[in-house]
Amino acid sequence: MISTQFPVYLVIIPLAIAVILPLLKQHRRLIQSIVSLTVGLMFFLALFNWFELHSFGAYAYNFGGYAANLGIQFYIDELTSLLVLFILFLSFIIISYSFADIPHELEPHQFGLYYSLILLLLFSMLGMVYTNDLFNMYVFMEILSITSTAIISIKHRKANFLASFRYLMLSSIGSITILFGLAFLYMVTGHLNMFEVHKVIQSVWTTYPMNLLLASGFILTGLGIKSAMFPLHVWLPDAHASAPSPSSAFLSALVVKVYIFAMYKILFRVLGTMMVKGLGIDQAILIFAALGMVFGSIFAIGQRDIKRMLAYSSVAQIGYIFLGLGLMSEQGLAASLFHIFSHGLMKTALFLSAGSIIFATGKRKLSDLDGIGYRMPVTMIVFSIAAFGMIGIPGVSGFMSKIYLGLALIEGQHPIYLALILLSSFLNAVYYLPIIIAAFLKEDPENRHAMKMDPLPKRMWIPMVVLAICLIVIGFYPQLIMDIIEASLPAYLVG
Amino acid sequence: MHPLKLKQFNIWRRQQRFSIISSIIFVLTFIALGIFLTSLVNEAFRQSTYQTVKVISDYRYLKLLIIFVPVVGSLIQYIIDRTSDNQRDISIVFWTFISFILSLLLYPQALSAQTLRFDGVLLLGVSFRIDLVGFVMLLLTSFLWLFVMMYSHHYMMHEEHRNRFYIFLSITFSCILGTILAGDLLTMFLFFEGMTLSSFMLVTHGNQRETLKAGIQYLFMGVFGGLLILLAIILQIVLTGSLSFVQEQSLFTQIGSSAYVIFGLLFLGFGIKAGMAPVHIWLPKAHPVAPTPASALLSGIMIKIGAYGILRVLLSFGFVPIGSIGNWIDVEKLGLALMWLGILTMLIGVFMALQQSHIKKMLAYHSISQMGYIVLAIGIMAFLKDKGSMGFVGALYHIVNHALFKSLLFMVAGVIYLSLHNLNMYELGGLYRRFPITAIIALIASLGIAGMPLLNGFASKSLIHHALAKAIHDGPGSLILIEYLFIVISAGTVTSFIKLFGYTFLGPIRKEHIQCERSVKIMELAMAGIAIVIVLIGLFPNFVLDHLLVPALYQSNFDVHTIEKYLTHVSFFNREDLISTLKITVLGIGFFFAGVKFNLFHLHLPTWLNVEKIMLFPIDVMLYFYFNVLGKRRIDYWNNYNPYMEEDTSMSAIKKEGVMGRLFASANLMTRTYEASMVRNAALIYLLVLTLVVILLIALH
Repeated sequence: MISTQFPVYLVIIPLAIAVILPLLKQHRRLIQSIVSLTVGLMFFLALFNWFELHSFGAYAYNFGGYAANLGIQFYIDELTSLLVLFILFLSFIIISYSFADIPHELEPHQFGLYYSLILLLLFSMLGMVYTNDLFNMYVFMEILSITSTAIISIKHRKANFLASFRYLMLSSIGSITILFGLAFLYMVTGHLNMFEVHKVIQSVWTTYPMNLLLASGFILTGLGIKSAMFPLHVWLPDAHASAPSPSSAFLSALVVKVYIFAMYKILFRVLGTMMVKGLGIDQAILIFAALGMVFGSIFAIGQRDIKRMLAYSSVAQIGYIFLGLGLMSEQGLAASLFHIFSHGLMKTALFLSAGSIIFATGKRKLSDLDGIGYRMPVTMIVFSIAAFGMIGIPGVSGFMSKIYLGLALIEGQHPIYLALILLSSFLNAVYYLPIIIAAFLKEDPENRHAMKMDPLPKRMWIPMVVLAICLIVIGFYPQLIMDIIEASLPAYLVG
Repeated sequence: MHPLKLKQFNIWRRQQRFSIISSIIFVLTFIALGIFLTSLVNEAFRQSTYQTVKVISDYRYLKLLIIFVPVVGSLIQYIIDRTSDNQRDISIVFWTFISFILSLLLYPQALSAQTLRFDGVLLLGVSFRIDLVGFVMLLLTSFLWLFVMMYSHHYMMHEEHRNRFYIFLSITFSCILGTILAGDLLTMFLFFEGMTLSSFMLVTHGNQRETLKAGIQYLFMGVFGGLLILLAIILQIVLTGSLSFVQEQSLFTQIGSSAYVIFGLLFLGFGIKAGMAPVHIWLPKAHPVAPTPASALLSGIMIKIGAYGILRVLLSFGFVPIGSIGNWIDVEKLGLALMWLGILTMLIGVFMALQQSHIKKMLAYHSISQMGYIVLAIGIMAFLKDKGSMGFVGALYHIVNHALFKSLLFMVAGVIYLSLHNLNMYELGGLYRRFPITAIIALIASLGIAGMPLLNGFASKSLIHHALAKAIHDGPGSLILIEYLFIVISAGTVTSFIKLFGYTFLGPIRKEHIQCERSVKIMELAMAGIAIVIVLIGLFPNFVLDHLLVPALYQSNFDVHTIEKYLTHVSFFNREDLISTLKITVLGIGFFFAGVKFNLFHLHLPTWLNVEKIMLFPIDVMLYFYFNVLGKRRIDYWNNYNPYMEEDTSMSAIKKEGVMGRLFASANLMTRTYEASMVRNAALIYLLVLTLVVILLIALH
């Protein structure tokens, strides 16, 4: 297998380039070409690796040739690889959009810094997805949190500093909590490699229920903070709203999802389905997920700022993902993963179009958006498509997530949550539709309905259109993604 | 020539071009319809006719083609030339004509009820199917759409954003065709949602505050209905594994009482669109504010799609398929529920219609009441199960008839509005002098809706009445109440249209109206086209029944003996029906004079009787309470952005606003409270959650 080493390259390349970028200072074009080449190259490496995995199957990669219980281990299966592919694809789109938007939002000398942060972000995300070692995961998690903090605070404004400080504090609490949890696990099992831990837990979980309960409670809460599970989401709206729009897209669409993916690993790979069900962890997740779905939407209704609204909407959507996860069934996991993909695409499209509106008009208050559809038709059409997905209009990928989730819920004998999903969908309609209505039907006081092309550079609207097309294609052919997910799930669950 | 005159001449010439082409298409339409109807009667002629167009009529993807012709046509036109109104309208009429012709060509496929499947799309696969029920709807839709398009050219010249209007009209048309041609519930839902969204743009076309408000209510009820249908779809997939309208054996017998949940959700979801009581509340607001062509189509076609949905799911999932020996689920109960809902709808519609002075509002309420007839007929069909063929035919026939006369009435209202800009019927009068042809057309349509013999409403209403009689004969004694109500409501309809026609067209004309603009020829031509069909159906009611509706019965599991006994050689102009019509008419006239004498047409109902208020009362009280307890001291900053509310933020204004506005404001308030106090204590929340999780885990363990 040629691509055995590729996952390591994928982690190392962004790290190396991230170090170089700040040295280039003002050379914008050079930085742009280096960054896009890097991400493009990474994408192809990941693609190649993914293709080869189909024929060769999952494998573990031990660093330095140490045995699994001693050294660090990457475990690469189809699902991991698919998620990496998705992260890189979406990153490529967001980065190509950001080349036009970032000079507008940041000062010139920060340009190189910003991209080195983005690459660090990619580095830690990929590391977290690949790693099969609990402590290694924790390390990547810390890097990811600190990079995210930096990416939020890169704009020199009071709001950004406040938001990033809050994020830093909360995510540190989360990290410490996770560390506690890991310590408990280590106490019981004596291993840090996920497979080894799993093996031991299988046999001893009835003997040490209290330790394991505490461990899973701590890890769950810690990851809950990082992935903005409902009552712990308090950092999210400020952070996602004040960051530059491409960063918001990164944070909402990818970073949070990576933490959720880490949660999958903990629940399915480390603890194992049987123990999770035996201890009733799934019930706890379901309750929090349902709360998040409803309250995230309600808080989104109360927003005045478009990006804050989108951030709260993320809280609700994360609730959907946790709902699928909480079912602890293969079908639920598949639905949840599908929603990771579809929400990633939708939220990116939404944040990018909101960013375009801010870029072109400087308006971010919802009440100022009257008639914006006539000034920026492409942007608002993309926004509408993604918003329809959130509401669950058939033909956009969000509808299929709801169908999948609904099927999984009914199969899992939880019809009440299905009703909650529909309630949440209705609440989504309550806050998304007025924006679309105002954009296309109300009159802009400055501009009297002369429909014209968006005042945007090509670099900004082409990525958005690509996203909208993806949304519709997946909306009509969900199997494109779902088949891959379903095919790779059994391997993942056995681990 | 003087440049100004030349310009005028050019405008005139262009306008004439639309009229000429429309007239040609008008003639062609009737020729095509004539050929089609002849082919229905004459088997040999049909064979030879369809043999000549075999290439198209046997084309596998013809169903798909029909769906996409309107929207693609309008997009092509938009891309080529978006400045010329005439050019666009000609192309719209042309493409609508094409879809009409294509619908006619679909008849052989409808006879054989073929299904076209696309596996894999939307996970479960999308399928298209046409049978005779769908064919009747298809024919009706494309026919009516064509004439409304001819009519709308001139009318829309007085509105802004015409390109947008026509594009969304085309999308709506495509979606309606898609809903009719759907072969399973998911496909139907796909197009149904598309119809909700695109027709919202038609309702709110006027861009005024009132329009937006009505539109938003329409949209949210539509979205809500859509979610109910989605819920039903998910339940049905999991419980039965199939959504297709064609089943080998009856689907719901195995799943017990869940079947009724699914049916209830579907009835409510489709019923919202159909204007069924008590979820009809959007209809009287949305239909009057839309531009006339849109309201004609909304009332004529779109609400019928809701009824069609109910009919379709009942036929497909409630009825045992032909040739299978499955058990019947208790569709009687569903039928009984639908019957009572139908009669309630009729009653509310007629009563409210009598109180209106605005013509379009009155027509909107009559749409509700006539939808009640249709729902009643569907209910009777379900109640009598396989012997319910009369209810089925009555429902379908009334769908056709009501579509014809109601869109015609809306078009008449549009003509009046265009020249007088006033639709209050008490401020009009004597208009037959200025609009003689329109007056005749209005008379035809009014008599049609009132159910007078020799016009189309008579046939379907008598059919429904016969079906009702049979249901009463077979069913519980309480149904006799429905019979009485039926007669009173029919009389109310008569009263209402005496009122409409009398106040608007008869009597002395007002001074300021003597010199008003006359109506435009092409609009009158379009209306005349529909009026001709109304009269033709009225004169030969058996024709449509025997050749279009009764064959449709044989594609579902209806008892053949009942069909032969009651429907094959029915004589409409018999003594009993005529006498009962006479009774209804006399009663209606009596109502009218009583109403005038005792001033009963201006009753102001107490506000608590408002259906909307009653239904949403609990939510409203909760939100209001939430406001008053939490919101009193925060008036200044909880209403910064509320799309559902007036600008005025004082407490009194909020009291008036609907549930939507209050919901929004409460959410605002809740968020502010939450963000102001809770977020500061992030650490506290964290501790709380951590302990909660741990306790939860330990407790569950």
